[in-house]
Amino acid sequence: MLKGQLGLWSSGTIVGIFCLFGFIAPLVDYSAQDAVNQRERQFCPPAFVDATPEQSRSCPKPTGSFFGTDHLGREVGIRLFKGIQAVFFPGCLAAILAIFIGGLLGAVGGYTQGALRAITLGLIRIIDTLPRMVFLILVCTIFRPSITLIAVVAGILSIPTVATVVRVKVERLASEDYILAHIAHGFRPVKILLYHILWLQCRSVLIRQASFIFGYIVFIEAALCYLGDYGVQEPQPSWGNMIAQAKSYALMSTWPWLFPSLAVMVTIAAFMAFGNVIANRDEGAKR
Amino acid sequence: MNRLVGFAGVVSKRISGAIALLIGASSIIYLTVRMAPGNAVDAITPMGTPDDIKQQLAADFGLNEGPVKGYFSWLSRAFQGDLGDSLVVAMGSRVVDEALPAYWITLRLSALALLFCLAVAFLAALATSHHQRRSGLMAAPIYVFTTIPSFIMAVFLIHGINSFVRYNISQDVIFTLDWYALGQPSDSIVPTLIGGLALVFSDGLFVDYLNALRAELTKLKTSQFIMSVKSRGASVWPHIIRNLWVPLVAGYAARLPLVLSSVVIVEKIFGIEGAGFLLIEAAKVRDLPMVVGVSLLFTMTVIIVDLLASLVRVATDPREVARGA
Amino acid sequence: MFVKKNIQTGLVGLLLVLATTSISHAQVFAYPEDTRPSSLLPFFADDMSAVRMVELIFDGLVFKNKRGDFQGALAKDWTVDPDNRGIRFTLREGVKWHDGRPFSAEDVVFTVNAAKNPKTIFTGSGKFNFIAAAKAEGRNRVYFSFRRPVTDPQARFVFKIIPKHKFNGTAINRRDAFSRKPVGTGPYRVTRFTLRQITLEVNQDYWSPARISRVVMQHTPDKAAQVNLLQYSGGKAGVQAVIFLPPKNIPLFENSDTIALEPYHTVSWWYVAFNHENKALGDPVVRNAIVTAIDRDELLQANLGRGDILTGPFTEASPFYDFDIEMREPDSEQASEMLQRAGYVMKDGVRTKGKTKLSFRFVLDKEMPEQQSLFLGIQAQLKKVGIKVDPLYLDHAAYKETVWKREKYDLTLNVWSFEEVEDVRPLFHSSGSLNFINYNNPKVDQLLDAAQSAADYKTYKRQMKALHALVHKDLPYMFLWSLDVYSGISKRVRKVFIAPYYYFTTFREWELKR
Repeated sequence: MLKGQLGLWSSGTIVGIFCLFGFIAPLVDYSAQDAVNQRERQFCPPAFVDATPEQSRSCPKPTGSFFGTDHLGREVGIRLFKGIQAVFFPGCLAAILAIFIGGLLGAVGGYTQGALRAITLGLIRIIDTLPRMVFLILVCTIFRPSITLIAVVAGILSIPTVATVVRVKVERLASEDYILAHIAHGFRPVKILLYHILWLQCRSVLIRQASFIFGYIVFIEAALCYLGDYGVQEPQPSWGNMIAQAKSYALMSTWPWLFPSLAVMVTIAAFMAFGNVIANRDEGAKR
Repeated sequence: MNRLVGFAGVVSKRISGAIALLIGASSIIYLTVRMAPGNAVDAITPMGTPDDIKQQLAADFGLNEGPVKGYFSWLSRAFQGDLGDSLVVAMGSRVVDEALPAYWITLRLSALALLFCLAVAFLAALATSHHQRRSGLMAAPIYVFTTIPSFIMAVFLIHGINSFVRYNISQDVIFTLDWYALGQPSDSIVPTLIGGLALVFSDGLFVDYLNALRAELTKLKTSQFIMSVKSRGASVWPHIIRNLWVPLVAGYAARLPLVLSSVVIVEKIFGIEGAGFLLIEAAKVRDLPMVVGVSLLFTMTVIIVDLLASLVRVATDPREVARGA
Repeated sequence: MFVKKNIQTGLVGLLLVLATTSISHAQVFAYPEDTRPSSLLPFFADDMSAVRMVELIFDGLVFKNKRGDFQGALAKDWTVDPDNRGIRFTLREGVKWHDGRPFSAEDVVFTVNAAKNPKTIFTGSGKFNFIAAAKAEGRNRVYFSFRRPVTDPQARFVFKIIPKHKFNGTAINRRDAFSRKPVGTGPYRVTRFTLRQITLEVNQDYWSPARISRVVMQHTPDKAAQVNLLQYSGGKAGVQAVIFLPPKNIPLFENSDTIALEPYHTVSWWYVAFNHENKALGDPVVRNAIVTAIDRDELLQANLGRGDILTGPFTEASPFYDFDIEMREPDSEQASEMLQRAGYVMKDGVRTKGKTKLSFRFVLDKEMPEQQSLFLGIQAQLKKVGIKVDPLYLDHAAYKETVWKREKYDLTLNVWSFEEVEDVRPLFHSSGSLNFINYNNPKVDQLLDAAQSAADYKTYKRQMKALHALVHKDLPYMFLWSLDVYSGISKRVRKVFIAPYYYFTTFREWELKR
């Protein structure tokens, strides 16, 4: 696990940039850079690579793009940037969905007794047994796939992970003295559950899970695009469909698939690390 | 005697729990099918499907009946091994006949890959368990390396092999993504080997396992009974291994669903004709009976493996019986 | 460092040996296909990959040889009745099915009866209509009587013969297990059939055994991967042929030492279909403006490469193509003017007339090569004249469903392929089976009806030319282009002759040099 300031700053920067771009990307008009110009700008190399004589004829250096161009002559850089937009809000949606429902189910499952508990735990177990990728493909077969649908289903499939973590925590807390004291003081159970247990005690766990789920959405979008174009649809760019398209031309030009792949990799790692670091700090501060 | 009764009680409880899970999970799959937009049969059949096949399909999925009744008639048929006929990918044959052999390939690949992962993680955990902390500087590349998605890992692997082979061995060889390599037989072992590697070292599987084992080892090593063994000068390893057995099995069972998700991608990229490959090809042409059949197989495996793992725990750990009874 | 490198080399070398041992010794002809054959039962071999594969597994009574003459395959000889109302075939003796059973006249009769059974539903059933009855005369003779006199009837007996003993009756279902485990009399038999590969082994009992001992078809939907395999393997290992090279990849192989470019003849053309149900697209002015606005030559050059821009539903090699028809010159200003005059005025960047907005849904099939870049080009060109198009990319199954069955689209891009000459009646006749564009033009119907009952070929040809002029004016489709069709085949393969449409008709004569 990442410890200390370095982990926080490195992962935090990446996550911060990602979120910032996610918000400002919809405001940017990119039609000029996204124009198709196959004849002249196909597979221009990135600015930091020396172009072959043949390429430099068609890709003039001053307008040469930093990340190169793809098979249609579109700028890879601006598409990387706009690609964040495609997964940002779906990612938020999935994370919120999973955190709210998962947190609630976990708390109910951990706090209550009897039939309610059995039903809640059963529901969590059932969702947990569905293999995620397989179930997502099933859903994409039956419904017309869209990134929102994928995010909702992925969010629902992430509920058990959140719920289990919360339930374990709640079970441990419910028998602790100060919670018992709250009960004895006549606080309403709902308030104890939502405020004292979920917010005060499970906050760090939930943040960590939200961060993981966000990373998972980035992953699943890219994976489903790769497997069968189920993710974000062209011409709207997303990292997944950039990789999926560039893979056909992988032997002609490395750059169009390399950058989105790296972006996916780094982003997922950063979200994982960020979740862990924040959770650890939060827990450390409490102790 | 008392213990045996308790044991039997726990086992039967676990088995009935597994059956309940199976019913629950399959009902979710079934309801998803029922939720198909518009006229369900039209929505789920490819164009030009003759009417008799549509009626057959509607009967197979109990679409003409109410959801509850339809579900149970579908489920009972499924348990008798009748998952309907494939509409497109294996036109003319039963889903079971196609899916089971393919599934065996998938199961073998994922089970072996996970076993390999377990062995490597175990060794790595033993080797590193005396290190208490890793610095942040070291951790960052490890993070990136281990959370790498399987398909990106596979892309890198294939390109690495390609450039290596082309520069060092032969200019005439090329491997492409989705492994359309060289007209070689599709049961060639090579894609399976490389695919297995990609499976083990991606999606955070390896590191997750390693961390779990490390934590378990550290806990054991600092536990009181190991300390006391140590203080007597005896070897601690037999004890550690005996006590590590349960978390190993539990960890194996817990990670199988993850592997079964990744294996779908890996099979596609390396052209391994297992159930995951079948699933994707069937999904592409909307061969619904096949997709549902394969999904059900995957789900059943998760449940069965979970059940087996819990039975192993019950058999090896008396505390489980006490807790369960 | 040196040692390490050697170890690496050794390991990868070992992998490669494992990978390639099984192919290096045998004579293997491997080729990729875009689509998986839907069925290897000849009646249901609708897609081109199935047509090609069936050609290797089954035989007809006759086949068309390199010179274009009909030669006996399962038939040794034939005599046509003097009044052209019947034909008698003498069958080759000693022919066996792949499962060892002897072939006989009964199988031929069974095939025809199965095709004529109304319960056997397949697209090519019309080709059997001319036969009134088939009768076996002993084991080695078959007599066919016709409904009406047919000149050169032997040309109609290229259809494949299927074994009677594999079916329970003449009503044949598309889902018969035979479609994956076919038994034919052809030069190759199927030994392995999986999702990715179909492996064929040579049939040694064939009356003229093929030279190449094994054929492997690999399903490779990615066109770029196909080209890469051919390009990098140099035709030595790997694939020996790519059936259709995208024209823009042709320069890669033009000066190749290892790959030969083989042109062959196909009848197919690209189009953008208008859904005439759409109120705006039902207006000929709008269609005309769209066609005028689009620079087809630029689209073709930038995305696909070489080909001919067309003015109507025929390729330039077709006998029906009228070269006198003048092509519309692309001119976006003229197109704008046309729309303006017809009352479509700019409103928020989109031309509108009353409630009709020139904003369309363009449905695309993901499996079509280059559809994406073509669409983006079309979108950009139409935007200039104030027409908005939004894409909907669908996978093949969903595409067929949306466009051909539910007709929920405004515009779509696709290709038509024909067997010998263009038969456009199903496309444009208001009752045509392939008229998914809801086109209904009484004049066109009239012309097509007249052509169908034409007494002789000359009249038919004249009427088709008239049709060409008519649809050029009325634009049921926007006709795009026909491409130059080349296969890339390894130079190790000798005696290559590619038959139009069926492709592998003379494959048994092909040789593979080591």
